[in-house]
Parts: sequence; C-alpha cells; structure tokens
Amino acid sequence: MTGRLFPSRRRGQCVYPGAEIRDLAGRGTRHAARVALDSQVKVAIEVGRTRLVITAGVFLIAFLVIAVRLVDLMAVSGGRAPESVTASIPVARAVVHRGDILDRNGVVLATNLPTVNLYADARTVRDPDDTAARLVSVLPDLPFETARARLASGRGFVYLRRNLTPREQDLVNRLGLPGLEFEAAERRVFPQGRLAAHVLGATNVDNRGIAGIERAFDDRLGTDNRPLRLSLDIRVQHAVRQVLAEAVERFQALAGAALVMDARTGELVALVSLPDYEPEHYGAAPPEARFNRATLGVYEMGSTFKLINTALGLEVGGYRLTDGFDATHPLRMAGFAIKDFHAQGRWLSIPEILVHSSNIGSGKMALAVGGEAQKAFLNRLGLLSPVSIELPEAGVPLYPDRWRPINTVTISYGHGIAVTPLHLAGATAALVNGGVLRAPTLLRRAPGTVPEGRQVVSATTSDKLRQLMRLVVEEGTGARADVPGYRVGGKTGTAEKATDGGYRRKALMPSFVAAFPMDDPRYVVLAMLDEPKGLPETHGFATAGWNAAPTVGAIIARVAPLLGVAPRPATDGPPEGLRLAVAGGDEGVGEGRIGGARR
Amino acid sequence: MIRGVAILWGGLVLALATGLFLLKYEVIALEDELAALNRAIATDREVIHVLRAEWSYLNEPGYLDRLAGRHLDLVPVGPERMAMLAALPFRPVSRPDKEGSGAAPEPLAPRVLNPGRADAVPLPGRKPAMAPATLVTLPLMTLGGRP
Repeated sequence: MTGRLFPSRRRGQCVYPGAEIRDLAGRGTRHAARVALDSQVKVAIEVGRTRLVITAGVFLIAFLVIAVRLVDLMAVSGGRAPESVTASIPVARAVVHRGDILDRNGVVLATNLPTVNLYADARTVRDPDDTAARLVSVLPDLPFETARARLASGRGFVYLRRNLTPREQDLVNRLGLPGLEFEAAERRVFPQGRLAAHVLGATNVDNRGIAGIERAFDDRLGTDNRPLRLSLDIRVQHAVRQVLAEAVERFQALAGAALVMDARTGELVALVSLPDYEPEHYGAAPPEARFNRATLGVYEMGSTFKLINTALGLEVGGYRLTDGFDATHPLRMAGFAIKDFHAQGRWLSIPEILVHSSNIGSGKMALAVGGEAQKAFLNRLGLLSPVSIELPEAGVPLYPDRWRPINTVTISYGHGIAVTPLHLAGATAALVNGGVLRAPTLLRRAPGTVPEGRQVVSATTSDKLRQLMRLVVEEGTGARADVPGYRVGGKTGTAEKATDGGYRRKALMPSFVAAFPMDDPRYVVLAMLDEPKGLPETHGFATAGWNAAPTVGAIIARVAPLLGVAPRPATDGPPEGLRLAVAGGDEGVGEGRIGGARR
Repeated sequence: MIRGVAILWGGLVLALATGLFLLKYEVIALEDELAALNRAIATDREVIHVLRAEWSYLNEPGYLDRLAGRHLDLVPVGPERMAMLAALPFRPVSRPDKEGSGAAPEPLAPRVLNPGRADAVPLPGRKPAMAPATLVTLPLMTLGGRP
C-alpha cells in the first residue's frame, strides 16, 4: 500500500523539482522526458536546486524544533512532568499551623481549631453608633463603648473580637453591616481543660507558647505539624488529680503536688500541681495557680531524704542492714539539739532508723560516712543540679555552699537542702529500679526501649532499699499507704516550712514517696501537701503518715489497674532476712551497738 | 491518487482535531472534578480535626466520671476485684465412685436457632444438670509457689 502511495523516487531521473511527478509509477509506458541542457542552464538549475534544498532543510529543522518542543511541553512538560503531577495532587496539607499535643494513648491534649476573627474597616463603616449597637445586640459580651470607639477610629484595620464561634459569625453576617470583615484565624484549645495544665502550659493570643510544653517545644510545634506525644496518660492524670484535690480539700492544704513516674524509663505518667488553672485563661490565673510545684518549686523534703541517706550508708559507707546507731540521746551539734519525732530512745539498726524515721540515727550515719561523700552521692543522684525535664519550669536545688558537719546532719534527714519533688521521685526511681538513674521525661518513649542510664547505686543496695521501703509501709510510718496486693513501699517525710531564720513548727510540708510493686517496682508515686491541717480523725496530726501516705495509697489503688499492674495476694511480710535485721536492733543482741561497726 | 492521499490526511487531521478537542474538554471536566474532590477532602480533614478535638473534649475523664456517677452504678475497679486467670479454680468434676452417679449425665442436645435451616445459629449450651452432692472442687493448682 505504502509502496503504491509513496513510490520511491527515481532520483537520478529528476533534473528539476517537480520533474518526478510526471513519471509516477503506473502511468503506463510513458518515458521520462529526457531534456538535454547545455552547461550554463544546467549550472543555474543546480544553484536553484541547492538553494531550494537548503531552504527546505531550514524549514524542516524549524518544524522539527517546534515538534520536539510541543512533545516536550505536552507529554514531558519540559522535564518536570513528575513534579507537575505530584504538584497537582495536593499533599496532605496540615489543617492548622501548630502541631497537636497528644497523651501517650493519642488523646488530644492541645490542638489548634480554625476560627474567625472579626475586624472592621472603619473607613467604610457608615454609622459607628448604629453599627456598634447592632453588633452588641448579637455579641453581648462586647462592650458597646469599645466597639463604638473602634468603629469610629477611621482606621483601615481594627480588631473587634477574636475567635468567633460559627454561630456568632453567622449572626454577625446576618446583620449585613458594611465595613465588618472576617479573618480566618486559629485558636489553641485544650480539650481536657485544667487536667494537665501545668504540663501543657499555655499559649498567648498569637498561639505562641508561654509556659510548659507549649513553650519548651514552641519551635517544634510551630514548624513541624506532626503531633507531639507526651508520656502522660490522661486517665492516670485524672485519677491522680482527683485524689490529690480531695486530699487538699480534706486537709485544708494550701497546695499539693503529685506525680507518677515509670521507674524503669523515667517517663512521667502523671504530673499534677494544685491549685492549677485553665490553660486557655492563663493570663487571668493567680500566680500561685500558675506555679508548678512538682517541677519548679524547691522544698526541703524532710524525712523522705532518709531513703537517700540510707542508700548512702549502704552504698558508700559500706554498712550492713544489721549495723546501727545509738539514738538514745538527742544529737547536739552547733548549738542545736536534733531529736526524733517518733523517739525510741535506744540503739537502732539501719532498718529501724528508717522505719521509725530517726533523725539522730540518720545524722550519725551521715557523719560517719562524711560530708564530702554525702555531697558527692547527692550529686551523683542529680539532686544538686537543676531538674532535668523538658519544661521551662525546672527548679534549681538550694544547698549550702559550705558543707559543714551540721549541714551533713540536717541534710541526712532532708533539711538544709531544697529540691523539687521531681528530683526526689527521679532519685527514688533510681534507688529502687536496680540503681540506674534515668532523666525524667515528659515525652513518650517507644514501647520497649529503655533509655541509657547511669548506674548510681549497686543492684544489691537497690534490692535492700526496696525491702526497707516495704518495711516502712508494713511496720512504720507509711502504713496508711498500703494497698493490699500491690506491695507498696515508701517513705514519709514531714518538713517544717522555713521562714527567715527559722522553721515554723505548725507549718508542715508532708510528703510521701512510694514505689510499687516492691518486688519489681514499675512506678514511683510521690504526693506532697502544703500546710495540711490536723483533723479529728487524724488525732490532730498533720504529719505525712496521716495525710500524704493515705493520699499515695489512694492514688496507687486508683491508678494501678489503669497501668496494668496486676495485684497479687499479699504474702506474709518481708523476707526472713529483714525480720532478723530488725530484731537484731533489740536490746541484748549487741552487734555494733554504738556508732555502727564499719566493715 | 493524490486526491485519495489528501482526503486521507484531511480525514486524519479532522479526526485528530476532534479527538483533541474532546480530550481537552474531558481533561477540563476531570480537573474540575479533581479540584472539587480536593476541596471536599480539605473540608473533611478540617471537620475531622475539629471532631477529634470535640471527641477529646467529650471524653474528658472528669466529665465521664460525672456522667457515670449520675447514670451508672459503677465504681472504680479496686485491686480486690481483680484476679488472674491462673487463680481461677478448675472446673468441678464429678466423682464416679460416689453412689447414685454411676453414669455420667446425659449430654444435652446442642441448642440451635432455626434448626434444620440454612441460617442455623448455634447457641451457648445449658449448664449440665448435676446434683451438687456429687461434686467436689479440686484443690487449687499452686502456680509459681503462690496460692
């Protein structure tokens, strides 16, 4: 077919363009014209033919270029075809301009919601009085005078009201007033209200973080739209906050703080400071509500420090549980007489010192170990450096510059050094989890990953401390923190609040730090109350054993099922070895009676 | 012959032009549809975002707590209400040597909804009727050294 339609040219026979059409195939036997030309004409024709070929070539090239470009533009899009394809499919663009904050289970704790701002172009407002009056009729909380003044200002852009609800926007729209405009905006909302206020912090009207996680991760939330996942569990947070709020109310305390921390990873599952605030109305909150007592406030923690002192004695001092110190008489030092609140008036073994919370025994043990070693040990536990947490509200410990013997003694029972409750919880977690200190964190770690930690005490010491903490709850001051089945262990601490140049006997800061289950601690729980009052049912006492300890017990009873800790039928008391250690302190069994024999 | 070629080319050009014309309009229609879909997706995403916030708001534990307290007779689960599967006693067995129960009880016919039909649904069986006197509870298995 093509052979018939496009017969090959017999080029040799064509002398000038067009000559070939006269001798197409199938035209019979007609012969091609054979014209003889003399040389001059022949040369002229050759020249003309060459020019024609060149012109045709140029045209051909031009058309080719156009064709190539057309293909390029239409089919290949100038080499950017894949880009233009992906550009035409919109990537999942973020709905809002600030990332969400989620709890560990994905519950939204903070998010931006699209809203509209109402503004006015005052130059086009016809009648400011009438416009303001109509506007106030649909937005009753907008003061008439303010609205009128702004509408009469004559400026091109003046905000009337930020963050209208869709209903309000509709009402304003229906007024049909000239000069009123809407502007698309976003507003940070905290759906869980004040539940995690001190962790989340707050944002200002421009949605910039001004406190808490919002401030610490302001850049990250503003640039990266992926949600930020916290270690908090909102159910646990609610339970802790509710129990603490009940305790604060019941004991008429000024304030309270409580936290639940994963003993193995350092993740904070709940962190509550009361009083708290609505994050959306941060500016209106009083300063004491804004103050984060769990991570920013530094307090003398009182006898809970005896845990650390006991760890110091066992780890650095090399004492055994059967060693002990004489607590018969008050310890006189630098003009002070250090007495025991629960005075036993006899020689006490190390477990007894902890169980009966003996200041004298603790002081003597710290003195025996030495001030330098004590300071180094506290530093190793991170108690002398600012608390390591993602919040901007991180407290800096207060401790004496010169570490005199009297400081060694008072610090042994938690006075003369002020740390945040989070410091203490972190150190306690290290003491019970096998001796590894991990920085507390508010960010969720991938399940199963355990961050790098620092071995601060040996596993043996940690094991002994676990037994001792359990003993305090079973037989000592922390009895009201016990929850059957969860093997709670802990230590009470009641500090007197310091004023200028002394302590107020009646103003107490009881706290209780606990861990559970004690044979393999999963969580550390700490509760602290500020100036609780004695109640008739507590026999007028306002010490930790009567308020902070039962608070921790109630927290554990509420949160342990949520945290998936299985209760176990209670076993009968601590292991045999410990019973013997306590018994060893009784009169008549005189191993290392005074001062404690060092190994 | 030349006319045939010309007609062929002309026809081709016409067909191509018509095809291109139709294609162009189809592409425009598809692009409109795409834009509409994208707008719908964006709207849906925004709505989902708002609904997620609302869901979180309505699931605030304190609110659920109040609702549960008002409408339900539920209390928080305490440790005393929890048991491990391993702590459950084993199923009671009958003792064949006891008098009066020489033969095992007759197995009950399986209970079926719509028996004999294609949409038959098996139902949970009734508890076997056994006289309490013939039962003993085996002692608990001690697991891991703990009762």
